[in-house]
Amino acid sequence: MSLDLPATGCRTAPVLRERGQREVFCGLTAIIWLHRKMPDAFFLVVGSRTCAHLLQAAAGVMIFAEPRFGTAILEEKDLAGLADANQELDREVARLLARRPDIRRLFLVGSCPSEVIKLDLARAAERLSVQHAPRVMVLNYSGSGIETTFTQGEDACLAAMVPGLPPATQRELLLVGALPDVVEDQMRALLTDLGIGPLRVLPAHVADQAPGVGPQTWFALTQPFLGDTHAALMRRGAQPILAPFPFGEEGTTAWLRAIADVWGVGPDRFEAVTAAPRARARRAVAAQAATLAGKRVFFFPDSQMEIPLARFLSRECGMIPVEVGTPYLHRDLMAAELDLLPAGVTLSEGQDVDLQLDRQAAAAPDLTVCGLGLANPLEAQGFTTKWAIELVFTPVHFYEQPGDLAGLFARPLRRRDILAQGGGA
Amino acid sequence: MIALDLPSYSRKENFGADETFHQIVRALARPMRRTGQVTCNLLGATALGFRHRDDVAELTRLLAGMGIAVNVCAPLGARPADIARMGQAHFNVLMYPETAETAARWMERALGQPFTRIVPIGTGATRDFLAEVSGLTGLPVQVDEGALRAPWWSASVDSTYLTGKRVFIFGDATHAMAAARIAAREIGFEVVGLGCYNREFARPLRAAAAQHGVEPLITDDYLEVEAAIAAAQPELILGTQMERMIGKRLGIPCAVISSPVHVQDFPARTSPQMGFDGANVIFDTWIHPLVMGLEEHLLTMFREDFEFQDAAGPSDHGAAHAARRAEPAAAVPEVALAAAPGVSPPDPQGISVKRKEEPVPAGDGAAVEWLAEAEQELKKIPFFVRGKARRNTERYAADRGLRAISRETLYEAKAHYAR
Repeated sequence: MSLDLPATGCRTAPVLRERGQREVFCGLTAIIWLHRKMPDAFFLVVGSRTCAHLLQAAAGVMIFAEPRFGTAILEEKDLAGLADANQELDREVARLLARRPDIRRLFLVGSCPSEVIKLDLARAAERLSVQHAPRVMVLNYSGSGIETTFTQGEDACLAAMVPGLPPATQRELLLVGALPDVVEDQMRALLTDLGIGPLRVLPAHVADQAPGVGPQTWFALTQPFLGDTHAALMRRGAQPILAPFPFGEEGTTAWLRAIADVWGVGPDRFEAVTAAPRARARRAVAAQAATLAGKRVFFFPDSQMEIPLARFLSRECGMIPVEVGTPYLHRDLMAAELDLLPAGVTLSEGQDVDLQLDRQAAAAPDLTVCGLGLANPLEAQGFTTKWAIELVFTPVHFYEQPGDLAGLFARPLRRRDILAQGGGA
Repeated sequence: MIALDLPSYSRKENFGADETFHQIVRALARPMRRTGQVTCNLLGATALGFRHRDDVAELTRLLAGMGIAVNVCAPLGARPADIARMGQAHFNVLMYPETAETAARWMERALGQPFTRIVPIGTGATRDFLAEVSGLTGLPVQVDEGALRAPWWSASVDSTYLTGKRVFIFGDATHAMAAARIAAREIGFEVVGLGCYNREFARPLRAAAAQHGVEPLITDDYLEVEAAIAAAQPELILGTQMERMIGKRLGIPCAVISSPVHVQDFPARTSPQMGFDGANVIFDTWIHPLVMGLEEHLLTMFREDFEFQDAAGPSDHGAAHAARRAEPAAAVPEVALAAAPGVSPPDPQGISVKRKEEPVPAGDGAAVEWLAEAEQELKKIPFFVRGKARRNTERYAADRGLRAISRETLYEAKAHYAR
C-alpha cells in the first residue's frame, strides 16, 4: 500500500512570516493537562500573581483533594533583588515535599517574571535534585509567554525529561505526547495488534515507568507541537519516524504505516488490523462532513495543530482552508503534512494580530479557528468560531475519534443554525 | 356563598383550582366601564405555583414599559372586591392556563375581554407575547432588551459545549412546552423526552412533542416517568421535584421548571421564569447542574486519574456523587446480576438491571451480553454520557441480532450513531 501523494502540496509554498502582537496563551497552560497525566508530578510555577491567577482561572475549574500545581509567587523584594530568590525557593520546595510524600517528580516552571530577573531555574533544579534525591527528581522548563505558546509548554516539559531518561537496552518504539487515557489505550491496542513493540510512552504515567532511550529507540510523535522534544531525543541517538500525524482516518493510517514499515509489518496484516476501524472512521466523519463540506475555514495560530487539522478538514471533510496560521512552522515535522495540504492556501507563521484580523475579515470565512481571547469578540461580530484549546483537550486521535474531531468543527456551525431560529421565531 | 362541584376522585388538583377560580370570577365579576388607561388582569398566579410571585412582578414591569397597567392580579393576592372590578380591564393576560383558562374564556364571553394565548417563558416566547399584546391593544411594542443577556450567553463560545446535550422535560404542560422551545431553539439542547402530568393539556403537549420529534409522555405515575428517563438516558432532566428525586437516584442532574415544588423553589431573591429576566434566570438555572465544559474535557481525558474515578463525580454535583458510589466495581456487575433476577440490587443499579431483565430482543429474543473487554472499555467513557453509549450499543447490537457486545461492537455503534 502506498499513499497517493498529490504533486500540488504546500511543501514549497511561501510562508507569510509575521512578528507582532500575539493573541495566545503562554506555556503555563499546558500544566492543566500535564498534571493530570502524571499523577506523581508537581508543577511549581515560579512566577507572579498573574501566573497564579491564570492557572487558577484556567485549571481551577475543579476542586481537588490535593492540587498538583502551585505558584511560588515572586514578590517585589525578589524582583528588586533584595531577597535571595534561590534561598526562598529552596525553602518553599522543602516545605512542599515534606508535606507531600506522594510527589516523585517536581517541575520548576519558569515564567515571564522569572525570565526577566534571570532566575536560573536550571541550576536551582540541579541543586534541589541533589538535595532531595533519590525520592524526588527535580526538573525545570520554561512556560514563559515570552518564549512559548500554550502547547509548547508540553514540548518544553517533555524535552526537559529526555536528558534524565535511562539508556535503552533494546529496540523499542517510544510514543511521544500526552494523550487522553482512552486514546493511549487504543493506540497501544492498534500497535500491539500489528505486532509492534515493546511500546514505551513519554510522558510515563509514573516516574518508575520512565522509558529508556538510545540509538536502538525509534520514536514517533503523536502531537505536532513537540519539536524540542524531537530534537532532544535525536541528541540521545533515537531515530525518528516521520509521518503525517494521527488525526483523521488518513493521518492515522499514514502514521501507523510509517511505523509498520520500520517494523517490517506486511500489507496483509496491516490491512487485517486496520480495515474495520478505517471504515468506521470514514463512516463517522461522513456524518459530520455534510455540515462542513464546501465551508471555508481560517486558522489563527494557536496550538501548532493547525496544519494537520487543516489537512484533515480539507481532505476528509471537504472544507476549504483559506489561511492556516501556526505559531511556529517546523519544516521537518510538517513536511508530510504540507504535501497533503491543497495548493493555494496561505500559510502564515507567527502573528501580528491586527493584520491577521484584517485578513480574516476580508476573507469572511464560514468558520474561524482561534484562541479564546479572539473567539467571543469574533462571535459578537457575527463570525462563527471554534476555540482552539478544546482541540487539545478532547480525545481526537486515531481511528475511533475522527467523527468527534469533525464534530468539534461542525458543532459551532450547527449551533449557529439552531440559535438562528431561536429568539425571534 | 359559591357552590363548587369538585369531583375529587375523578378530577385532579389543577381542575379544582381552575374550576374554583372560574366560579369565583363568574359569581363576582361584572361588565364594567373600561379604565381610561389601557389595563389588563393577570390571571392564574397562585401562592404555591413555581415562581409565580416573581413572574407577576416581571410581567407587571414589562407591560408598564408599553404603558399598560395591571388592573387586578388573581387569584394570587386578590380579595373579593378585586375580583368584582376585573371587568374594568381592557384584556386579560392568561399567565397559567392550568389554573385560569376556564375563567379567561368566560371573561372573554361575558365581559368582552380578549386574552393572551402565548405564555411568555423564554426569549422568543416573550417577544411573541409582546407582539400579541401589541395586537390586542394597538400599542407599539416598547421594551428595553438591555437587561436580556440569555441570547448572548448562549451564543458565546463558552456555551458551545451545550450543543446537543440531551434533555428530558416533564412538568405541567405549560412549563414543559415552554421549556422544550427554550431547550431546542435558544440553548441548543436536544429534547429527548417531553411530557406532562395534567391530562387536560394532552392535546397541545402531543403537538409540541411531535414538533420536537419525541413520543409524548402523559402520565401522573412517577414510575412511568422514571422508566422513560432511565430508557432515554438524558444528560439533564428539567422537571418537578419528583423528577429531581428520580434524577438523584439515577445520577442525572436536574433543574426544576414546574410545580410540584419544594420550599427551596421559593428563593429569597427575585427569580422569575417569565419575561426577559426570566430568560436570564432559566439560562443560569439549567446550566448550573451540568458538568462544565473544561471539567467535562478533563474527565474525558484522564479516566484513570484517581480523583476522576466514578466515585469522585464532578466537583459541584452532589447528587451524582452519592449515587455513583453505589455503582458496583468494574467488570463484575451487570451480567452477574442479570443472572440472578430475584436479587434486588441497590439503586441506581436497579434501573439498569431492570433493563437487563427486559433486554432489547436480539434475534430470537435472547439477552445481549456485554463481554468483559467491552464493559471495561465502556468504563472509560465518562459517566455522564455512558448511559447513552450503553443504550446505543445495545440497540445497535439488537438491530443486528448480535448476542454479545465486544469492544469492536462498542466502536462500531459509536461510528454508527456519530452525528
